[in-house]
Amino acid sequence: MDECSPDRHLLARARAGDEEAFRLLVERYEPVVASTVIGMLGPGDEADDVGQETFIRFYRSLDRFRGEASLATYLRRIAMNLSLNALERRRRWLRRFVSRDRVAAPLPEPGEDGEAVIEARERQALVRAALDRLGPKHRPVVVLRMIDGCSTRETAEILGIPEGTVLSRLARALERIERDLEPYIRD
Amino acid sequence: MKREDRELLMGAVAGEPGDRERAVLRERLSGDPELRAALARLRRVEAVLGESRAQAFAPGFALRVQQRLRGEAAGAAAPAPPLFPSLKRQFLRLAPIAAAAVLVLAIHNVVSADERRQSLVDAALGLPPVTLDAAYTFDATWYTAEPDEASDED
Repeated sequence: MDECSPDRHLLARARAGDEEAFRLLVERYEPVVASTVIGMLGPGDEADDVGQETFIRFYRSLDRFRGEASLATYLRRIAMNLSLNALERRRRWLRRFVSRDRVAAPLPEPGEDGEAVIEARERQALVRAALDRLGPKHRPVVVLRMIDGCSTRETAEILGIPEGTVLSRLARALERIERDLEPYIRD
Repeated sequence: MKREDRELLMGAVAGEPGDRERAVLRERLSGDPELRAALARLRRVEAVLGESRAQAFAPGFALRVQQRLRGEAAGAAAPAPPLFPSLKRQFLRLAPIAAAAVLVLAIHNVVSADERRQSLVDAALGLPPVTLDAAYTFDATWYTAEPDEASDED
């Protein structure tokens, strides 16, 4: 981290117990954490809760954060781990309470007038459905690399996997997403 | 599509291709319209995914985080008593009173029972007298009549 960055001063003040400094850090990095958590879980109370928990974990580890990685990478790593835990809880809950006979809902068809008239909200829902169909190995790669805009190296670092694995998982995931979004991306 | 072509496209979309990889890609794309179309589709997927990026949680997020931190700090300063020991304390406090009440009721039942018709245990528990007749018929008089009247009927 840059020695002169505002983050450094805010971190120092937050470590000294300055609540206002920590609030400013939360506001500054909310978009980073929101992008990762909502990308993984979709919008809603669960994502909000995981977002809060991310910053609370960060607050508890303020003294341990030495700045080897950027603060954004550090927060993304916490957010990703908590999101994966939440996904696992959700999976267990679904396995226990949702009938096995229930099949996945088909993706909505686009309007007949084509992409130009499709509301952004509908497209968001479609992307969400496509992401939800990805498993816990492929979804984080897509979220970090394609939605959050992390580099391949940063994605590998956050997930603790080699860069080659990031690319191979991404290739498989994009192939599937491409099929799911076919009506919207065809020539 | 061949595996190496797929890897080439992935490198173009998600990797950080160097000069050599870019040159190879340009050459392959110039002679293969199908590959160009595949790259265009991948670029559109990339754009659609990029547009779906969330920028924030619901309004007031920083405030919610601070409230939760304050709540945790307050909880840590005055921790709630553990459940089991406090239940145990309540039980030990109430147990002698409950035992005394049971004893008084049992003595009352024994004293007021009809000794000829009941065992001591039945009387202490306040059970109705069991007779051979009662085994065949419903002895409703026992519920309504006084003990002396009921014994007179025998």
